[in-house]
Amino acid sequence: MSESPPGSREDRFRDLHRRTYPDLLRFVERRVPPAEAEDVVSTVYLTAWRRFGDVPDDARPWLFAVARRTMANQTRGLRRRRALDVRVASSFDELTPDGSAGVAARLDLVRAWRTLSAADREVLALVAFDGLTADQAATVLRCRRTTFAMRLTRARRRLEQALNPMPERAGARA
Amino acid sequence: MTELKDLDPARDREPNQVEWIRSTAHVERVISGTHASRRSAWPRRTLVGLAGAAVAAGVLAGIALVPGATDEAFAKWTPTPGQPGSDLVLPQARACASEWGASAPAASDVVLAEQRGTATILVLKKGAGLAECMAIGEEVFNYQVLADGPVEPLAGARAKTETWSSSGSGDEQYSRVVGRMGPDVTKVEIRLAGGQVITAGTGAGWWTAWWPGPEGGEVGTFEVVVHTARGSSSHDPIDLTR
Repeated sequence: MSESPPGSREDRFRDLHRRTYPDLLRFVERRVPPAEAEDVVSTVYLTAWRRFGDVPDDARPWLFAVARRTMANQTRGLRRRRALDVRVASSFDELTPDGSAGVAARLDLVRAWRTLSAADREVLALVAFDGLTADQAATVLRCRRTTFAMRLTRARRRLEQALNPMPERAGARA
Repeated sequence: MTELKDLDPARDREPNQVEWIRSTAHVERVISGTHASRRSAWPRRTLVGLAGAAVAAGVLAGIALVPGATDEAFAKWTPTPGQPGSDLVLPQARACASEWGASAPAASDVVLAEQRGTATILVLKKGAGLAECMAIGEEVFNYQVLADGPVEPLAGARAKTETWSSSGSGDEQYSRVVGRMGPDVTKVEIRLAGGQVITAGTGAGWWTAWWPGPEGGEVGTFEVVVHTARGSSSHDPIDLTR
């Protein structure tokens, strides 16, 4: 397939693609419909090739940051219909109460999730969905680790409050 | 946070084989520079199927690529050709001949065979003339007549382009070029406007190459570089039809 010598720039880029493609695809599909994900992922790898010297050893957060900017630009430039946001598994769209505690808990969770701001959802998703550490997530959002940690703490607290509203706070963010 | 994982829309999502092929193909195009060229603002006046009047009798058929075959062919494409094994060439030659209704060819009927990844181009004797055929495995997806009768060999360092064209659409366009050369020509290369250099496969006075991209159907987007022991010269393909 390639005539490049082992360790060449081309081979290192191919290796980067092999190592990161599934995670990057998942990251993008959490934020845009699957039909739009391929274009975003393609743009990310084009950017990564052009700026290969800037890609750190821990490439995933760097690629995710490029993907976020790409998706944000598409949202601003093409769709304009909504801000970049994290999606929820489609199985929750059809979930209806059946009297079981399990379904009730899941419905509560998705309702609580939807009361959060897009920014809170993004912070939580970077950790819970994308599996990033605070350092990595801070790289994606281009902020300091301490800033991310503070935002994560606040987002968790708001999610907790939405799940277990105090009587006087019920509906405060609804 | 553990319960939140249930909300993940991409939980357990893994790219399937087709997605891997498509993405790998894209990466290869990015590396080779052909991705950028497809999105450039080069002129797109079409010259599909242009052929030198002296030799080429014209396009016989263009068979659509099987879905997925393009991606794999692009992913595994190489700018320098290899030589397909004899176990592959003869079955492919038979498949090509069967497309134009000819009897099974012998090994001696194969004038030129070159392979880039999964795709092979063969130049074959067809009756008294010649035809060119592109195949993946034993599946033929493009073929054309190069000559209806005997072709006078070129002398010395002369080189000609006989036909060039592009096939497919959108991100799946690919280009082919076929030409002839005299015995003093040591190598023929295609240089795309984006800078990429593709080495043509050669044999028995013929040369050919294919590559992912639309340049074969455009004007001014590639040059033919002819090498001899004395040096090299670059030509617009249309100048080499004379």
